Amino acid sequence: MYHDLYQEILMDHYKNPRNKKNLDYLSDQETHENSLCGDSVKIEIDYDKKTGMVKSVFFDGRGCAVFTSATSIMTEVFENKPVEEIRKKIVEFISWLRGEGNEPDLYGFEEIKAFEGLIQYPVRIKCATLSWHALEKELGKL
Amino acid sequence: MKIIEKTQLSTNVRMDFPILQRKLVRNNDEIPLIYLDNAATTQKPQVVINRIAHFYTYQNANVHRAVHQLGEEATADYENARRLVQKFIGAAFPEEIVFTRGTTEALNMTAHVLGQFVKAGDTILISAMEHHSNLVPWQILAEKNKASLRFIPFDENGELILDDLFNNWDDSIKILSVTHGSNVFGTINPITEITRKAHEHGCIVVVDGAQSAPHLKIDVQEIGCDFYAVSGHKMCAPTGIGFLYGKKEWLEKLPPYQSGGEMIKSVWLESSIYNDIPYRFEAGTPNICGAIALGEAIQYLSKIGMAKIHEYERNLTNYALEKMQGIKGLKIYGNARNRSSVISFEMENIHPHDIAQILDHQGIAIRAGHHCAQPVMRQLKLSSLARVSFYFYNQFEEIDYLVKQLYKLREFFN
Repeated sequence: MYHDLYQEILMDHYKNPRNKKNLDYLSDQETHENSLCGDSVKIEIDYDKKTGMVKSVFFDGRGCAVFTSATSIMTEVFENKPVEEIRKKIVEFISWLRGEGNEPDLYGFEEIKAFEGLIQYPVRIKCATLSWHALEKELGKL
Repeated sequence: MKIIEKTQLSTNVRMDFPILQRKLVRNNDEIPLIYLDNAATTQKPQVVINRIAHFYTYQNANVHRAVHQLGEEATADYENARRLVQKFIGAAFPEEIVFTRGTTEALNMTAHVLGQFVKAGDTILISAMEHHSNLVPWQILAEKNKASLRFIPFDENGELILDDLFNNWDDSIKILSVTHGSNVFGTINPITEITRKAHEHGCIVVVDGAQSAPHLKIDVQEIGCDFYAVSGHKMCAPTGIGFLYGKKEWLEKLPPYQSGGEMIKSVWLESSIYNDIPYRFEAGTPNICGAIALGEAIQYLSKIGMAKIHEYERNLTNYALEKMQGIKGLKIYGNARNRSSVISFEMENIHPHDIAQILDHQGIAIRAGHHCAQPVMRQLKLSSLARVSFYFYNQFEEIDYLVKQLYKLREFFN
């Protein structure tokens, strides 16, 4: 079988991405791009201002298996979570992949273990973190 | 189905490249390295590696100023390298060869020194298939001189559409800069014909030879172009060395690119007299060892023979094209009649980065990305492509292995 990175879990999210929908209404200015490969993503946040909770996260974009699965998993992880907690978890996830921190607790989502093998491929870390950075920026606009 | 003969170039060439003997470790097993990223950079034969070691071990000195023995030896070998380049590309005079860091610097230099020939309202013509290094320097010049930049389009085969251009020539075109070989489609452009027709209108012709000089016999006098830029590292020489060929009558009337030592004849506090060509364009201590190693690489390639290299690579490429076309869902971009050993492709439902990563796991090195040609990608409505590119040391068996892995990849993803 292929590399850790491409285990079943990632392939499942790649072939059946969760919370993916057409976001054509968002402009180019709201598109987040990986300048290395040209892949791009748009993010939509369903946010409840009163409670400070993100109800759901949606994305639109085409990219590699690493990008797609990391994005799909992200949208699942942050369903019905408070904004401030999400911000913290994003930082933890990114520093973990950069080899600067421990594996974060993402509400018990075991899928993220699949990305552990990525730490040895610095070039591909950008694929996994593109949407996480994008979500961070979009949260800043709320 | 065509039958492509698995010809042999020379059984020994692979042994000339120590890195090709390297084994990679995957899952605790040793597997061979299959290097198919030659359009990015090529591997170095032992003779070139030895030449670098020899220079720094026994010969190191600066050129053109020392009267001591080491300085004279270094100068003699550096100038000999210039003559080897001259012969390699069929230039009329050694002083038509300016050593540079590579094609990028050669093209930047050309765009810079030709600045005075581009006036407001003039047009600089390039093609829509250029590498960023033959696009951005002209964008900068056009902006600075208030000139406009126009593009020769390409068709679905990755060939330039030239008829309209020459039938309705626009006299505002002062410079035409075009690539000899496409790093995306593998197209070899009809550069001799393009040059002849552009010259009929008094247009300056610049050629990006980065993807052609390593694979074809180049004769700049036959092509007739005014400038021709080449990188050493794509033809067995080290990185950081390349050259610009410029016709003597052009170089002689052009100003320096950078200034400092070497490029001057005499200096007063207020002004200087520029040196003769090619030194006017080689400010500062040059990459002496790099140039000498490039000379060594050229001798190595010439011994095998550029015609033989071209023929062998053509067989290899045709073989790969035929095998790859048989893979369902695999689409090849570029179908030029005259092509080099570059094959860009995509696979249904598999991102190029995933193709490259998984092939790497099998020991196969290929390129995935926009290939420094983002306008090309945009026209194709793609963000990236996978690319394999061969050199004369690649083997038919390596292509068989690649194809087998591509079939496995397709199965895994579908």
